[in-house]
Amino acid sequence: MVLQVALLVLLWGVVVARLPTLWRDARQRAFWATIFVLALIKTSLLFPETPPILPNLLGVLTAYFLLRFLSLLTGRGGHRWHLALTAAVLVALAGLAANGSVTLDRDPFPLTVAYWLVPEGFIGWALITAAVLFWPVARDVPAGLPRLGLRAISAGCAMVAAYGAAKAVLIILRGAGLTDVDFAEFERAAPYLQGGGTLIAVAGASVPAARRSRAIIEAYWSLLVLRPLWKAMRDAFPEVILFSPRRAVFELAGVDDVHLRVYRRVIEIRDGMLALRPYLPAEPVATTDPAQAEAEAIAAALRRHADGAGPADNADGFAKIGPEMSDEVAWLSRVSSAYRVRTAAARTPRPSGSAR
Amino acid sequence: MKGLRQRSEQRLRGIRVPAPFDLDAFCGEVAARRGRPLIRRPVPGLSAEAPCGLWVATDRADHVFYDPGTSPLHAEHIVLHELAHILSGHSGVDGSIGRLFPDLDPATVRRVLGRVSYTTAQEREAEMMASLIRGRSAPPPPTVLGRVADAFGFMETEGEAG
Repeated sequence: MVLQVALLVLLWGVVVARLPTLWRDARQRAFWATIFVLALIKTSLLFPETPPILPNLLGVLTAYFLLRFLSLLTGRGGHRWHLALTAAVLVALAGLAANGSVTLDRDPFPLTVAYWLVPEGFIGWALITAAVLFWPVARDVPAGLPRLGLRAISAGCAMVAAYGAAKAVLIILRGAGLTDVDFAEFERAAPYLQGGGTLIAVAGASVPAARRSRAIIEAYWSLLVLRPLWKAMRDAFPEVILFSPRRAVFELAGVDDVHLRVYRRVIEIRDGMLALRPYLPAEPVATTDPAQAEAEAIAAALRRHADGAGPADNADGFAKIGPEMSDEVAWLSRVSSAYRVRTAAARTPRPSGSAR
Repeated sequence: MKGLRQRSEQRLRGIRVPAPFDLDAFCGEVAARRGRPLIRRPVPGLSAEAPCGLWVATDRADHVFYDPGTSPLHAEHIVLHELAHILSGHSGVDGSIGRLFPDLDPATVRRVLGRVSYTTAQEREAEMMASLIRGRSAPPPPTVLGRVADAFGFMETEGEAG
């Protein structure tokens, strides 16, 4: 039960967390669909009145989305072939279910054996393909979480495939007349192999994503930190702003676009600073913190510009920084924070008058 | 009407953007597409009373001028804005050309476009294209490893590092 709950929480958690990736590309959509249908299967098993064929039909669909995801990763195509095969398996499954018993609690008829072997074979093929793909790729990815994640996906898929293979062998043996095959005992141990394998594979797929999630959270944080300086530039030079924040929601909507939004924020701040350059004070501001000095210089230049003072060529310009985006974000974030602090301090009412 | 982002993406389709980004290599790509030299030149103080970047197309070459008095990334972006004008086939005239380059024969100048603000459709498009070239994450390498890394989110890109 604990395993079931943990698996359901993980599956639905991944489904919700990866919702924004649906807008990204076909790979992300195929992966999301795989997890979503898997979550539906595990949820449907909680309800005793679920028709026995439903988890099998959904299992075939999961295998289809997994194969679609794998073919998009390898770039080998085969989409129509996978689609045709999936349709054939679904039709066969429905046809076999309509023509005989699907339960394994008594000696199975040949049609019942076929009913179980068709989906197990299809799902097993998809799982083995995944296990075989991810294990060697793991060798070439950075050590640590990415490698661990891919190996977990591979091992998890292999475990679920092993469960399917063991079940298929038992069904064949039972169908061949071996009456001492105990399905009940197998089904008692099977959840650990099947559920554990699924848990390991899905957790493995989520582990490397933590790195991207961290980068995205950092980018959103940068947007927030840069905002005071950006807002000052926007107010002084509205012509340097390409998108209003409201428009940016439509034009730069995807989660991955947050990096582009940070880039725009940096460029628009720099455009404003370039326009401010002729208004910089002649003498540098005396302070030990260079970021604070830059913030003070910007504030003084903004004041001169707002007062309508004429431009002058009396300054060295702004601090020199490195060429990378990370250099810009780190430096402008420091300047923006210093600017925010000085602006807030300027607005804070000072105690005056009676001490009462 | 298509969005600015979509139009800019369409313009950039088929144009090779080096990954990791390298301005010299990208200028080489633009020059090769145009079949003529592209000359990039810093002009200190350009933005004081004129655009901070300028593209001047003559009969023989494309000249891109930019103000170096800013951060390296910003200077690079100013150049990219002008390259975006070139790639889009934008056209226009800028009154600052005679003031900036008094020795230049106006008869040899075919096109002039400067980067001042984003109030016209051409300027907005050039600015969006420049941002897409430099600011978005690099596409994954066209290998299984690249696609796996991209799908599971452990690909190192400059955008993510920033």
